[in-house]
Amino acid sequence: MIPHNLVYYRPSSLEEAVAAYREADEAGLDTFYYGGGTEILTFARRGNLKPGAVIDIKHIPECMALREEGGRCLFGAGLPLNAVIEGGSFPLLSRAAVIVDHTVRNRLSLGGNIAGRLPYRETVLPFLLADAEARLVGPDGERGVPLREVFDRRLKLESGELLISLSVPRAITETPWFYRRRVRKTRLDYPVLTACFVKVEGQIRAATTAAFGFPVWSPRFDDVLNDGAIPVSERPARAIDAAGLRIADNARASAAYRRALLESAIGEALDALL
Amino acid sequence: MPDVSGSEYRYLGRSIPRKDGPDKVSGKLRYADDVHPPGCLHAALLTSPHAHAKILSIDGTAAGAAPGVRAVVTGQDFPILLGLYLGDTPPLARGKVRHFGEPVAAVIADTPYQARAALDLVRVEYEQLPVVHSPREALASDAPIIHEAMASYVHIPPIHPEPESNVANRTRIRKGDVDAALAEADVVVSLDFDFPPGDHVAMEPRAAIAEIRADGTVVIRSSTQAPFVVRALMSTFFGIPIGKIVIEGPPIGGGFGGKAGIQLEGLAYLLSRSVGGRPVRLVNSREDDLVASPGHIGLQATVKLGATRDGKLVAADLLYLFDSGGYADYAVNMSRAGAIAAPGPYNVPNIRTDSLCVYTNHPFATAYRGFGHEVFYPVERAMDELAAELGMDPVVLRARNAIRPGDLSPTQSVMDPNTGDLARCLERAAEMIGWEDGSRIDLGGGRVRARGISAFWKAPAMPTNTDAGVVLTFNEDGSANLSSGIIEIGQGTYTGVAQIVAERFGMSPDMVHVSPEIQTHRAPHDWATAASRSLFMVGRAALAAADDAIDQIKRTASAPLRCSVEELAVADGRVYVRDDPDHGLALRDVVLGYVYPDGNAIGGQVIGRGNYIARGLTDIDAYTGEGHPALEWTIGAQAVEVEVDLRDGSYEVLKAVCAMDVGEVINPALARAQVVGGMAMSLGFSTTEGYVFDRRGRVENAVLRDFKIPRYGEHPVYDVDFVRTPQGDGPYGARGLGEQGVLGIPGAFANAVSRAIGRPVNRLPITPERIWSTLHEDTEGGEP
Amino acid sequence: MITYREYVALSLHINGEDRRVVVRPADTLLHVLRDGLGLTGTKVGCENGDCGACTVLVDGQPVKSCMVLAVEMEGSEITTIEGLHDTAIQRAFIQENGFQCGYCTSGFIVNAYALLKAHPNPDSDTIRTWLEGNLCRCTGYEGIERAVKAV
Repeated sequence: MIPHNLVYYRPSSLEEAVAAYREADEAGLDTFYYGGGTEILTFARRGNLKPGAVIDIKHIPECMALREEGGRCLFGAGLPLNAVIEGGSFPLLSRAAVIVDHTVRNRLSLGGNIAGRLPYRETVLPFLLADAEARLVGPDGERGVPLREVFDRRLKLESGELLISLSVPRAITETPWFYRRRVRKTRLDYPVLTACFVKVEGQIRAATTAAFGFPVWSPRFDDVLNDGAIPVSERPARAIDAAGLRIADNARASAAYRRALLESAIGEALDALL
Repeated sequence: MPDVSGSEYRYLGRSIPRKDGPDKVSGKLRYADDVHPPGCLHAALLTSPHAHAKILSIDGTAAGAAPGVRAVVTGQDFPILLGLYLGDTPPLARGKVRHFGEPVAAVIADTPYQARAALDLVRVEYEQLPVVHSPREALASDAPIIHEAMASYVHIPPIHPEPESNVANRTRIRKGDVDAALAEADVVVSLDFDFPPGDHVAMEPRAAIAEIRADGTVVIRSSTQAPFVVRALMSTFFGIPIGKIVIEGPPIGGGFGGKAGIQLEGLAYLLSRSVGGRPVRLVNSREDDLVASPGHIGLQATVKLGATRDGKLVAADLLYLFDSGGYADYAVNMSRAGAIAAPGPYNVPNIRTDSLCVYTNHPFATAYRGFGHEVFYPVERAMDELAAELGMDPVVLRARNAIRPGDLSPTQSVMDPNTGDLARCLERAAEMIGWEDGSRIDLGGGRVRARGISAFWKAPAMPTNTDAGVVLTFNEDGSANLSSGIIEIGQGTYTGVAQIVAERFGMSPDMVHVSPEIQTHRAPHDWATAASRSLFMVGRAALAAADDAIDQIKRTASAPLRCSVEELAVADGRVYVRDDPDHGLALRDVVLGYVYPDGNAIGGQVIGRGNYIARGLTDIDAYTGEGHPALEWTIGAQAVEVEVDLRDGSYEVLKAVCAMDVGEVINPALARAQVVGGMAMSLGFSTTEGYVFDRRGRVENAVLRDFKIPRYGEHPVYDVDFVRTPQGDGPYGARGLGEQGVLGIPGAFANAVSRAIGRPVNRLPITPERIWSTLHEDTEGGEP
Repeated sequence: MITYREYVALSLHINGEDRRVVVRPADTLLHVLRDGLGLTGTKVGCENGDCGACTVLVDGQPVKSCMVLAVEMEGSEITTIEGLHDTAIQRAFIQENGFQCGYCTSGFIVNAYALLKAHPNPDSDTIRTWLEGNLCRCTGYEGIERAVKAV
């Protein structure tokens, strides 16, 4: 039960979506692009968010695309996670998208997970590793940018901008990968640690979330993993130190435990991929 | 579960399907909040963001002017204290708040969303006070006093509050000479224990809908386990004549003790009163249900056990500090029930127990399935440490000390011949779990499998005059309507009691109808659907009602059948001459009076009346605990198998088993379901549950997303077996079993984990991180 | 583009029937089912997507009705527990004691019904994947597991 009423827009094109945003924004409403709604509605119920308007993007064809074109795999931001998983064209993404439960995944959207407020954003990890391009639309029109340029802990969008889709080169989806997700106890929970690894042209790339409190891809981290001068057994600890970030420490897990789990996950990944 | 083979019974001991099945699988059963009276208003609660704070001011003016709002009320509007045993609880906080989530104001509006939206407009100014984080802290000499006015609180005589302190009740058990026995013991172990308060998480949040009729009758539809307790307390606290209070008790969506006592009903009544008696619906959000309403009690304990070299327990010195939270509610009786049951089903000649119910600034506690069960986990863990010290198998140690008929209970009452067979239960539990001496298997790669065992017992904790009643009326087709005061809370008692009546009548349970709802002005009086006493007591009342009805049937039939009452029997829907079964009448021709062919009628309708009242129970002595408070003890043993990864502490519970002496089993499938359900709950608070508090006593996981209860797929393989030492005074020899599945699991599980990792784990819940940090205590500077 | 403000006279297709109901755009499907349409078989457990007691089918797929807006449901086929009649999974829940208090049962049955349509003979992992989003506090899941495997 959402205490405060809102205005609901259902555009059928990107232009309509941008127009809706402009209209609601000019009316002074706190306005959100709305995919599955799972995060917005639960936040709104508890008063952590008071959306004045939501713009449902599920009827915009570009946001619901799931296809291969020009050697790239493309994923619409409005796709529910189950569609991403069952699409199956990017195995690491299909694995990383297994979050929450099956029923919620019928609604929770890819864009919602990446652009929402919850800090974990687990499905962004495979894209960070795979040279993804983000398609955005806003008041100034459409643009395509490398994901890493607009993602730092969270997606950095301009006001009124919408994530339409993400695409990755087909070749990277076929590279060897490794995935670890650790929880406090119950598997249906926010992660204590999620780590994704791929091996591209002989080099290991790693991205983590929850360990440092937000999604992290760090070249310094990757450099240590690939540094032949460092004994393999020392690389996990050295890589974590190289990231230069504080490990999260809260009720879900202490920093010491998280660090132990992260070292162990990196060790397993090196075993699997080296 | 197979039915009893070769049984002398036709309907008992058989797993007949539940009567409420068709309505429950089709969504047609109506719970409390599924029916709203016309014109019903909706309430929402504003709760405290602080654990302990003075309320400097509350301003509801803006909220009162919001659309659809009919009233805004605060604690100042209700200068009254409520309580179950001890009147310490304002309906809405007044002057100060004593726990995170305590309701401080309520808004009543035309719609639920208007009420909720207006909460944002209520302005409350607080001044934070020092927070009491645990019972041990609460007992420190300089601890803040949480209830300054305790001396003025009304309470029932068996409760012993200690004003100017945070002790709401103290129960003492003094049996033998503990100091002398410990001094002479060959081996003594002493350990400290800790587990946090938590919540029942019944799937249905608490709901109460109250209205006041024009003649002053107060009608409350409530998700309650205890409609008669609610009625009596409402009368006491609000001065309403008890006959002018009607509690409607629909089936409830899980209770587990959390809907016993009085919950939202008192506040719902006050809210209705503040809008001129219009119906007001007060339904907890899940978050309010977690922390505004009471939950599962926490505990800190110190357990000292002494034994001879050959493993005979000589003394138990027990200190239990129950974490009652901000209010006393049922906690003052849970600490007492725990004291009566500690140290468990063992013959211990010398026992000294101090069981304190201690106020803290945690969300407060109420009854929880197993009522006082918390005492067993520390003792059962200590038993394993003792076994290790003695070099003795834990199963053997427990069996050697099993309590037997003729032994003295902790309250020094003599155990009667109905006493269950603990040794046999231990033997069965050990067989089912695959126990072997030193039951720890190294699987390689850091993985270890281990098993743990535990014993338990429980008696109903209830007033000495606890009663039950049953009325049987009859229909034109000869079928019966059974009316009692118990609530269907998922346990299936309606089906079990129907089986008991069916057995007595020799007719199908389908011919015994049980209404899914009760109303207190129509149903026979009943204490509460709690304490695992429904089947026992209502079963006894049902037998009495059946016998009464059968007598009446025979009396009426004896005239047209021209025989004496003694010559008649009732079975298969007929009353007939025992020695000439063809000579008889269909019940349908008798139960509403017999009509002769010429139209003359005799006998009138049959109304079977049966009652039961607990026999021979006493309170316990305030200084020694001597007395006879236990109607019957259900005894058993449980075992758990875990597989632990020593590298990171992750683990799986593979198997959990229970062997319990329940006497006769009325419905094996339902009995097993109760036991398994209890074990599952207990695994929940052993593995993941419990509130997480921040440094200011606020609950960090007060939302179901973060308060983790077991999910599908995490469940182990369960195995349950029943030992059958008959309960002489139980209905057909049966005794209670609804809660007992909870009791031994924390001990058995913690013992299995401790054995797996080779170190004691004496705090719950046992998360992977707790195991990991226990393993790293020496090297990495202690537990976080 | 469709825009809804204040109140909406909404058409929904539920259990094979066309229903008209006035809603706020902010109303969840759960709220509208229970309070607008009298379909109280769908239960309120947490309104936060955590318990699954409010699970219904939208175009055959299980969805937590507390986590969707009613206005999103235009043009979809909604099935609630009231739309299932004497199905195999309902019979199995009775036979195998897949419930006690019954409060989570509607959500479990609706979800399991969709599971068995999608996977007539699901393995244990598939059952877990589908059902772990529904909480039951009474049964320890034993009877539920038996019921799903019995169909």
